[in-house]
Amino acid sequence: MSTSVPSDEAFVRQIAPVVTKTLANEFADLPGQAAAAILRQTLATCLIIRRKATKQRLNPSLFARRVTREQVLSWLAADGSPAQQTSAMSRIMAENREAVARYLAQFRFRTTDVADEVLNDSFAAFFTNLADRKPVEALLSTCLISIARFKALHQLRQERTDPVEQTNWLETTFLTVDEADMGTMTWPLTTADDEPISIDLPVTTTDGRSGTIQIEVSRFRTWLADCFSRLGAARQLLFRLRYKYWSEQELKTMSMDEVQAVFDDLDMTEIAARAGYTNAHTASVRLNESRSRLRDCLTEKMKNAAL
Amino acid sequence: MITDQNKWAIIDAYLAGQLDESGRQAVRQKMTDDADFRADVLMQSALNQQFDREQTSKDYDLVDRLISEGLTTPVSSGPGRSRPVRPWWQQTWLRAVATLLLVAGLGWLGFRYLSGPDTLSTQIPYAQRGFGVDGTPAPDKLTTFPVTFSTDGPASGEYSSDPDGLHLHLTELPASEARWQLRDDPQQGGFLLTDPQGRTYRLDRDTYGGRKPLVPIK
Repeated sequence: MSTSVPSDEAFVRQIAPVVTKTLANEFADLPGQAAAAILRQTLATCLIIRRKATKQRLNPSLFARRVTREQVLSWLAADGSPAQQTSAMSRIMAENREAVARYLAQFRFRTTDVADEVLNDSFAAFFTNLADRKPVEALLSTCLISIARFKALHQLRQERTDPVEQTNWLETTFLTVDEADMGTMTWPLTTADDEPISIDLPVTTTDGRSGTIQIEVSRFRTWLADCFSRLGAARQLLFRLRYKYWSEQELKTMSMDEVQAVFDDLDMTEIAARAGYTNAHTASVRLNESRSRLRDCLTEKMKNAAL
Repeated sequence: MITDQNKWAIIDAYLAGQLDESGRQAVRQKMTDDADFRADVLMQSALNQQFDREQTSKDYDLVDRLISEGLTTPVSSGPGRSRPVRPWWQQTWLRAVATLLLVAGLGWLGFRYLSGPDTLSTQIPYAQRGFGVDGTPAPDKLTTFPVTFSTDGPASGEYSSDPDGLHLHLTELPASEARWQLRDDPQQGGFLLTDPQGRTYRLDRDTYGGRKPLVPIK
């Protein structure tokens, strides 16, 4: 018997009754506008988790109920009455503290006090995000562990002098969630929400002086978005397809030789076909040209900023 | 060894978490030694995040559309035997929603009398102005923009804005916030906001902490 993966729309339709029922039965005293906002956020979060997590073996109903409850807790922690806020934050800490502490145990900090500090800072940062109305777009445990990972790497960067260690905040690592009722999945811990405030980039000024410029990540992102928007639609599509290809690959680790041998030609053949190019070589050439254009555009912006 | 020929495949694999430990070490070392390579990795990382945000925005769009349609259309389970579909007025979930709306509506009325202004933080559709390769106009990029509605405004409405989002001060929260739309104002550089009734307002991008009246464009 073959099973097919439902479309995004079918998936939302499948879980929506569970979400509305959970809200009606378990959280009937929520304000009406809150219930509507939580319904929307819960459905979107389920969809995002479904898209990003790999190796999923989830019971859809129990998964939807779990996300609904967590979204209600998040709402109460940010927008509930003072008593509700205190209660919700305590519950979030009680339910997740052990998992975050267990994750942090893999990092070797100078002292156990530092480990505790990182743990507490992680929860504080999460609650600040909630207060700032930053949407929770994952399971609470994975959100908290993602923050904890960045806090831990930041702490280790401060403790160590090895510059090579200072770049690993860019790497994606994976977290396996395995819960008896809900099921299992593997969640990518990325740097999307937790990157350093600023980065150092090389720049050569108009008068020929070389050096580095420190740029806020948010500013760098704005520059890049602007430069990217100047590329033609077909070239933008090449980048998007390449990202999609890599983000949908079955998770495995490879050596650099394997990456080069197995993937580069293969993914470009597929991407070229989907983007309407005659062959992988042409698509590769266009992609590399586009990368150069992006770099030139960024370099120009950095030069101007360095003046 | 990382060369100009293989670097993008390796960067992609590195950022996707698919390189082994020795490969990751090589990338870290190269990023430390070679500032241009570091810039390449940062550029690709930022692009990946942009694509992920775009996809997330599409997820919200789908949910908004389905909610606005009432989520009532039964789903076909594909070819073959299909499950009988109960009429919409007998759907259990509809009863649940009706109960939820009734109970929550009563709760909300009580809440309004006992608390300060209500707020609703959401994302509304945003058509971001696009540019072609040579700076010429290109199709708008459809994304979303964070907006907070609150019930502490005058009858005509006020707004405040900053780089983090838009705050609309009204007398009551909108029933269908998804039908508010935002786009870039090509003439004055700010925003053009359209409400569900089709009225358009010209807004500053940053009111620097102050509030300004919502005045429809004639």
